[in-house]
Amino acid sequence: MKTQKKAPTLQISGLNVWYGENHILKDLTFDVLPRQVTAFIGPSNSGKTALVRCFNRLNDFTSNFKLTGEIIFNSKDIYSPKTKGSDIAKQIGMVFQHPILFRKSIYENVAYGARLQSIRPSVEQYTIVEECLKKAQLWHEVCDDLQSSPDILSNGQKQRLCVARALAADPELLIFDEPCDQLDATETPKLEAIVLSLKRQYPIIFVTNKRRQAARVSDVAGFLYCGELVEFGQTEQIFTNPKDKRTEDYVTGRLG
Amino acid sequence: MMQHYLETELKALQHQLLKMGGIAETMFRDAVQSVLNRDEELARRVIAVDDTVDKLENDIEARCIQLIARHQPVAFELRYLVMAQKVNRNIERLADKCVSIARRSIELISYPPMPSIVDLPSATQLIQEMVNDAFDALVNRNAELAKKLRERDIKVNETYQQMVDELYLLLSDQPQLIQPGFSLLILFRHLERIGDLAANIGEEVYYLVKGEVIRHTIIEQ
Amino acid sequence: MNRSELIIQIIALATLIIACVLVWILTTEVFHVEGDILSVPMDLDSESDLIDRLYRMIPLLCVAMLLSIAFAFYIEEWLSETTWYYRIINQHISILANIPSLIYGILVVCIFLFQVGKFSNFTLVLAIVFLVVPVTIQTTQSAIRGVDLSVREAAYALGANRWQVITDHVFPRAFPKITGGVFTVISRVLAIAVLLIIVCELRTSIIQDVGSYEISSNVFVLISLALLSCVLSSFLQK
Repeated sequence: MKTQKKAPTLQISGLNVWYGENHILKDLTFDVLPRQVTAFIGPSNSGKTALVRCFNRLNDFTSNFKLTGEIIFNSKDIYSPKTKGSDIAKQIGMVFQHPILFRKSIYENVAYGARLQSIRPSVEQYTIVEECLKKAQLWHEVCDDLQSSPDILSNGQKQRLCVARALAADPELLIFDEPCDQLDATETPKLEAIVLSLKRQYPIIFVTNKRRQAARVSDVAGFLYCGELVEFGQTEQIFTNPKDKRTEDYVTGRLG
Repeated sequence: MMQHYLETELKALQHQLLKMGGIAETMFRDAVQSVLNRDEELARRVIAVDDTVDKLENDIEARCIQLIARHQPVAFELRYLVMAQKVNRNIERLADKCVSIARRSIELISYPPMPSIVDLPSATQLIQEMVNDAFDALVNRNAELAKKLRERDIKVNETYQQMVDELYLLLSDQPQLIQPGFSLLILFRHLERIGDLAANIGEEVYYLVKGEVIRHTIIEQ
Repeated sequence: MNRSELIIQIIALATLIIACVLVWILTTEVFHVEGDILSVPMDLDSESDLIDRLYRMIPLLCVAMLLSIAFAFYIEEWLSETTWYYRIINQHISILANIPSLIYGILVVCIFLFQVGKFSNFTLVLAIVFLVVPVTIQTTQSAIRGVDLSVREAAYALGANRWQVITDHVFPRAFPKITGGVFTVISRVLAIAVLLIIVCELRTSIIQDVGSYEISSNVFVLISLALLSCVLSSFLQK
């Protein structure tokens, strides 16, 4: 692994998050580097999803959400009063646990991402849609049905369509929040392959509750347990020589 | 595709293994040449190359562990990674033997030339071919070629025994040659060991292809 | 039911009662004066006059419904659910929407037609507002809440702003339910209109036969009880 110095995409320092009285994330500090897949593993309710939702300010819509600490994204403070939530979200693509599609055609679903970047229907928009569908390895499956409703697609295809839509918004960071939870065994490897092919262009944060998946796709992994970042380091090290007893218990399957 | 991804990783691993094998082959050829041509410089070069092999061994081992930890392979991929580690170790030992031969070669050069009692070139030729075929079997996943290496190793062992006998006769005649004679004896021993290592690699390749352990089993003639 | 919820409900009820008293004063004391623009007394003998007036209420009805829908979007999308004014407004709406349309109708008929004896435009406007606004707001609210949170989140995550999320996703998805709500309201309004027309005819014939008519106090007691149970039901449903 090359260890050239890269400016981190995200710098998180002293991050604490509360939902009402619940202290969800406790004093997290780490960097997310470009050209890498950073995975977060941990049992359910360990705060993985809450963490990634801080990055694109989706937590703003959760009542009683409170945050302290700093998240610097491309040298901008995400939570500074001057920053607009939608501007941050525009630069961060997110793929959710469930494939959530809009009630529009397959083409329009992807084009929606581009439209929010003020790219009107045009040859340019079509090119973007095609390119994004190709990156999401879906183009050959849907190129004949671009105008039909996404209901005809399988779950895995829908999820890949979500990836294409996120890409169409031209993000500078991609977040995958347990994207394979609803997928079957044949679709999961396809999505993982997409993640691996995309990491050359985008820094990627990958949340999963499947240890093996994190081991396969990530370069750097963080183990979250009860809101604490127990361990954060190279994936190989986490999976071969974890420093913390709890990490060891988790990766071997004794915990969670 | 994920499987595809592991496949490319395995290819890269094989590439590294073969690179190491290639270096070891060259080391062996050079070491033998240095003995036959009394070329001290060549011998020193062989000793110098060993560091590269050691480094490669560590790299390959780390890579194997990493791939096992990350992909938790099964079936062929698991066998491949298990084999790769053992072949890795065998190649490294092969390179070590070459270094030992080169050291003996330097010793022998410091003595006057020995009368050529044994057919060293043809014996080394035999071993050289074994080493080549071991790597060929690895590249082509050729189980038959790999299995045959064991039989060929028996031949090498017989040749070794003959060479030792001949050397014994020579030394009984000319006891003043006892010092270079001992170096030569040790050199023969290293050559014989290299044949063993090539056969070991063959066994591992056989395991990779057939999934069957043939180590310590009786060889049917 | 926790304490703050109870306080909110009591405040909501109190403000509602004050508002009703104000409305009562306005309709009985201020706007029934003859010659006032809003209170041209109706010629009760002519049925067609009443129907004419009812037709003229149609634009008002449309405006009231559109504003209610807009208001529902405002309180659902812009107000945080935890603020006290959101909770009070919500309580008002649920009390008012809970009252059956028949009670509104009877109130209008009894109070304004028989008791006050004068039937002004303002009374009609008021009746329509009470009849239309709470129910429209409530059905629109539930339609908006029915839109899957994940759809909003997906849109927000792509960088859509609040306005884009509403126009592109929430409104199209809530539209069928909102339309359904509008039809419910229309049926309520038509029912009351029918009631008014019938009562109007009855009253004319009663006054012709008997000369005058007084509503018995039992009616008021029963209506009060009905209102009370509506309030209680909306309290306990929370």
